[in-house]
Amino acid sequence: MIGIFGIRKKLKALGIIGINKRNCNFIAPNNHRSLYPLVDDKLRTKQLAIEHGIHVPELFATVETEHDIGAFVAGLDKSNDFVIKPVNGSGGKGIMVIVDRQNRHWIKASGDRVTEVDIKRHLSNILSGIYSLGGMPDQALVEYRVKSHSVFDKFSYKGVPDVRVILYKGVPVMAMLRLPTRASDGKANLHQGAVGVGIDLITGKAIGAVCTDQRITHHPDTDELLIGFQVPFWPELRALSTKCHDLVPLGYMGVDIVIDQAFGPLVLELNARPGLSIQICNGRGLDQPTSWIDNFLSQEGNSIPTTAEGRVALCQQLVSSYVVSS
Amino acid sequence: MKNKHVLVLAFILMITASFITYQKITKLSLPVIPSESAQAWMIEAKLGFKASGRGAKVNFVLPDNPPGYLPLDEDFIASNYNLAIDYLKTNRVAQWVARRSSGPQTLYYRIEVTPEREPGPMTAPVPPYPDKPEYSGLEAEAIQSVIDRAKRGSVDSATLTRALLQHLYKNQNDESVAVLRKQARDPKEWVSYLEYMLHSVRIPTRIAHYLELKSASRNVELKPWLEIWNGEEWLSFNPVTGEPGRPDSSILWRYGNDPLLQVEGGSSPTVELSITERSRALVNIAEERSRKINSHLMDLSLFDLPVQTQNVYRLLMVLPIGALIVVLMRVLVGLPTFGVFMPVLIALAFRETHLLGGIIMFSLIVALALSVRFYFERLYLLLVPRVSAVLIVVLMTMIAVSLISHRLNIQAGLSIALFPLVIISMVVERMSVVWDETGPFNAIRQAAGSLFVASLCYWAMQDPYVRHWAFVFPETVLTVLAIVLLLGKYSGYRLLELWRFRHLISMSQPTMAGQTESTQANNSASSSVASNSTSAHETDKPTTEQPNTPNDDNSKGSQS
Repeated sequence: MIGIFGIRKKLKALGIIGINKRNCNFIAPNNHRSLYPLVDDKLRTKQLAIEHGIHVPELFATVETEHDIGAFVAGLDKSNDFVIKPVNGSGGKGIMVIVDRQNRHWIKASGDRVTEVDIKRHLSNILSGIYSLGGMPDQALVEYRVKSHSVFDKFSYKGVPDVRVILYKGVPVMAMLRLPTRASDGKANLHQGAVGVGIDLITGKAIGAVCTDQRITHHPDTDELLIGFQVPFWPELRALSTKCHDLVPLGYMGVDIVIDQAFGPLVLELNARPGLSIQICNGRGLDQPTSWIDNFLSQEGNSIPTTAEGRVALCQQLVSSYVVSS
Repeated sequence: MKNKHVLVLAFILMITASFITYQKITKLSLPVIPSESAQAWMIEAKLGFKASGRGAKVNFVLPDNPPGYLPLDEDFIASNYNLAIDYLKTNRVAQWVARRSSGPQTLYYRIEVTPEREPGPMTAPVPPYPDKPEYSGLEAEAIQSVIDRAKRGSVDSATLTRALLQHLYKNQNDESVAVLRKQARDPKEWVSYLEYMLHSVRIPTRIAHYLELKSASRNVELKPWLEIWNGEEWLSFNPVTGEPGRPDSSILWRYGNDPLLQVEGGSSPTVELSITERSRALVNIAEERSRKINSHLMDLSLFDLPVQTQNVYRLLMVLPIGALIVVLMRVLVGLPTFGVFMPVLIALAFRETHLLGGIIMFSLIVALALSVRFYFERLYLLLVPRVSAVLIVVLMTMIAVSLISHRLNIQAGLSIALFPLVIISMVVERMSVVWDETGPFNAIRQAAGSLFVASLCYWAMQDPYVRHWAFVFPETVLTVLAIVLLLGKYSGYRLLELWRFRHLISMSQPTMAGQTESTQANNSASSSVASNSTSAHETDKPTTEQPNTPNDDNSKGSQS
C-alpha cells in the first residue's frame, strides 16, 4: 500500500492533471467566458462550423417551442432515423438516438421501443431546460444520425463511437476514442460507462483502454482486442479537429468527432470543459504536452501557427519529443 | 502573478483579523474560550426612613469607580422621587427629592461589580497638610509618648504610621496606649482618633469606608480604613493591626466622616446593605469595560445590536465555517454533494434535530419524496410544475412525519419542520435526474456525500468554541475568507482523484522509473526541439555548456 503522498508524487511524475488544476490553470486563464455560449449552444457551433467549411452532421430541424413539438412529431412519419439533442445540453445528457421505426414505434439505439408520446415528452423535457446547464429553457435540434464506420462494428455496442481530441492553445495534445457499451446505453460518454481508448496522435493507433476508470485491453461487450486498433481517416480527422480552434478560440477544449460511413469524419460538438479521464486511457498526463507548448511559446519568436496545418506540424513535433526521449 | 495577488490579499485579510482579535483579547480581555465567566457581586442598599409628610430630600453616598472593581450595572429604584447624581466633597452622591411624602419610605440602590486587575497607586487628590491639633493634659502626654516611640523606628510617614499602629495594637497594656484606646468607642471613632493623632506630626490622612464582599451577607456594615498621604500617594493601613494595604475582597464605598445616608424631611434613616455573589459571562464584562474606556474596537462588535438581531447573527456567523468545510470537502477531498450550500443548510436544520435524528429524518423525507418523484416521472410533467409538485410532496411528507411522531410522542420528529423545504425539494429533483441518467449508485453516492459533509458542518457549526469565536470575534470571517480565497487557487489533486487515477499507478509501476526519466528528458528534448525550429545558436547552447558545467550534469544525472 502506497501512502497518499506516494500516490500524489507518482501521479505528479506522470504529469496527471487534477480537476482543480484543470479549472485553475487551463480553463480559467485560457477559456474566455464569452466563448462558452458558442460551444454550449450546439446550434451555433454547427452554424459556425458550416461557415468555416467544417463537416458536421446535417441539421434536420430545430424545435424551439412547445408548439413546434406537435408540428415536428406530425412530420415524423417519413423519417425513421435521426438524433434529438438539447441545444445547450452537456455531458451527453438528453440525447435520444432513433435508429429505426416499426409501425407506430421507434427504436432507440439501445434497442428500446419509444412511442410518439415518449418523443413528445422528451422534446418537452428538453425545452423546459432539464438537460441544459443551469436549467434554463432550451431548444432541441434534430440532426442526421451518424452511421458508424464499419471498422467500429466489432468494437461498439449499438451507438456511435467518437474520437475526442484535446486542443491546448489550438494544438492537439491528446486524443481518445470513445466506444459505447451496453452499460452506457449506446452513448459515448465515459462517465456513463463507455470505453475510452487512448490514441497515438501520430499514427491514430490505440495505445490503451479504460472502462469506468479501470484499465482494460478488450471491449467489455464484444471482447475484441482494442490495443493496436487503427482509427480510420486519422490524418483527416486530426486536421479537422485542429481546424475547430479557428471556430472557437478556446485555449483548452475538446473536439468530438465521429466517423460516418458515408461522410467520413464529422465534428459532433465542442467542449469547453473536457474531462480528465483521457489521461487514464493514454496512460500519461496532460501536464507534459501542455507544458511543452507553454515552454515552446515562452521562447522568443515562437507563436502558435495560425493555420491548422502548422498546428498539426507542431503537434507532430510535440509527439516526437516523447519518441526522442524514450 | 495572479497567485501573488491572491496571496497578498489573503495575507492582508489574515493580518487584519489577527490584529483585531489580538487587540480585543489584550485590551478588552474578551474571553478566548466560551462560557468563561467571572465572579460578580450584586450589592443592594435598602434605604429606609420615616417621612414627615412634607418634601423629603435624601442624600446617599455611592461608590465612585472603586479601585480594583468594574461596575457593570447600576440601578436606582425609588418611585415618586427625582434622582440626581452629584459630587459632594470627594464622594459621589445620589440625591433623591420628593415634593411630598409621608410614612415609611423605602428606596433601593443596586450596583453590580466585578473584580478587575490590581488597582494602581492613588495619587489624587493632593491634600493640604493639616495643622497640629492642640492636645491637653493626659492625652497630650500619651500621644507624645506613642508618637515619639513610633518616630524612633521610622524613616518616613508610612513607616511611622505603621509603627504607631502596631504599637497601639500590640502594647495594649501600656499605660499611655490604654489612655488613648479609651478615647474611641467604635472602629469609626478609632480611625478618626488615629487621624487626630497623626495630625500631630502633620501627616495628611483620610478615612475610607470599605464594604467587605462576602457571599449572601445581609446588613453589612462599612469597614473604616485609614489612609495617609506620604507626599506622593495615598497609602492604606489596617486601623487595628497596622498592616499596610487595602482590606481583602472589599470594595471602597466612600471617604470621610459624612454619614452614608442623610435625610431632610424625614427621621430615623436606616441603610441595609446586602451582597449576593453571581457569575457574569466574561463577554458582558468586556463589553461593559469597552464602553467605559470608550474603545472603538467594540464598534465592530455584534453586542451592540438588539438581542433578537444578535441571535440571528449568532446563527449566521457560523455559516462561513460551514461554507469553509464545504470548500475543503469539495476542493481538497473531492466529495460529491448536491449543490454547494445544501450541506450547510441541512446542517443548520440538524442543530434542532441533532445528528442521528437529523440524518434519519432527512433520509426518510428524501426517500419518500423520491418515490413520489419517480411516479411523477411517468406523468411526463414539465420542469417547473414538476419541481413545484415535488416541493408540495416534500411538505406533505414533513407534515406526515411530524404528525406521526407527535402521536408516538417522539419530540425529535417535530423539529423536522425546520428542514429547508426548498433545498430538500431541489435535492429530490436533482437526485432523481442523476438516478435516471447515471444510475442509483451515483445518486446515492452524491446524497451520502452531501449528508456526510452536512454532518461535518453540523459538527463544526455547533461546536461551542467555533460559535463563540464566530460571534465574539466576528473578524474571524476575514480569516475564513482568506482561506477560501487561497483554496480558490489550489491546483493540486483532490484526495478522491488519487483514488480515481489509482489504476494508472499500478499499471505503470514497472515503467515508473522510465516514465520519470522520460519526463525529465522530455523537457530538455522539447526545449531543444522547440529551439531547433527557431534558431540554430539556441540549440548550440546546451551542447557547449554541458562540458563546462559538470555540476549541472551531475544534478541531472541524480535526478534521473
